[in-house]
Amino acid sequence: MSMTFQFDNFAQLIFMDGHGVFVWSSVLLTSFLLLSLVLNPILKRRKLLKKLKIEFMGSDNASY
Amino acid sequence: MQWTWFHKFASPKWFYQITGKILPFLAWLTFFLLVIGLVLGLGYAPADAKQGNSFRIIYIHVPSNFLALAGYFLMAIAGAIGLIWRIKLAFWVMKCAAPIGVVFTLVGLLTGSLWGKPTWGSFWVWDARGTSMLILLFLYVGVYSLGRSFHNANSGEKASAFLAIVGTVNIPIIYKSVDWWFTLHQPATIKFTSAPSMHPDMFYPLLIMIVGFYLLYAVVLMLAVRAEILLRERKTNWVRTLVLK
Repeated sequence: MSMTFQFDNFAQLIFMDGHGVFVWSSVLLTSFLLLSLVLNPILKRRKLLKKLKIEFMGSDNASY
Repeated sequence: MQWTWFHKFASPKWFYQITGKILPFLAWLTFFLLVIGLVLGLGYAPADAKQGNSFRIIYIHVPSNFLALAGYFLMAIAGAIGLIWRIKLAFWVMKCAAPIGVVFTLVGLLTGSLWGKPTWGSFWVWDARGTSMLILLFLYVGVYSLGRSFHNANSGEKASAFLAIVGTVNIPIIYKSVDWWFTLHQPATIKFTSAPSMHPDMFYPLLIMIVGFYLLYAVVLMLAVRAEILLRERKTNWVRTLVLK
């Protein structure tokens, strides 16, 4: 299976014979949505860990 | 009764620990597969004879829709497991799967729309496949909202599980829609019983993207469930130890 690059230059890759706007919009939109999908729980978990750390450390100190 | 192995899977702590170990590897694998698949699909696969370059949207559209369907099955099965065996981790998996399913379905619909414009002349047609996928989106949103609308979290989880299970009927409808109805959407290219009706140079990047998307789903679901576990188990000793070390 020998595959060749289908476009003559970068401009052609972007333009894609007029279909570029549809293809690249799809790529950008999807990348944005999927990136948010990945980042959301990561940030949520980090925020929770920070919050819990403060809570647990605080309760450890409050023993007077 | 030798059910201890099964109930190990129900342990949130076990899930948290094991996913922590495999996630880095899975994440990198996912990233490489998606990059390779996309580069091959966008730049190296030959253009379609009829549709030209717009067909390249397939490399996102098809994998995303596969996961929209597979993710729904997973969500419904998780709900069923939660109901039957009263395993709370199963309900948490179901709960996390809902918004993830929304995103994959949305990506499928939006890329379908962008593909439809140059192909069919319209961003939207009420064709059987597209309409049933829209219903799937509503089902996902419904499962998510229903769970959150209850004052009692347990009742919310049970209600969501019931809706998820009932909605499963939509999946075979979506799958067979292109066979049962006279629709604009083209019939299946990838079949269980015969070779794909697509040139290998077009097909291999698609396969890579499909696998990549399955792995991506797994990664995202694990990330979401881990966050949910920490939240729900925050009062336990093992979480306390984890946070303080």
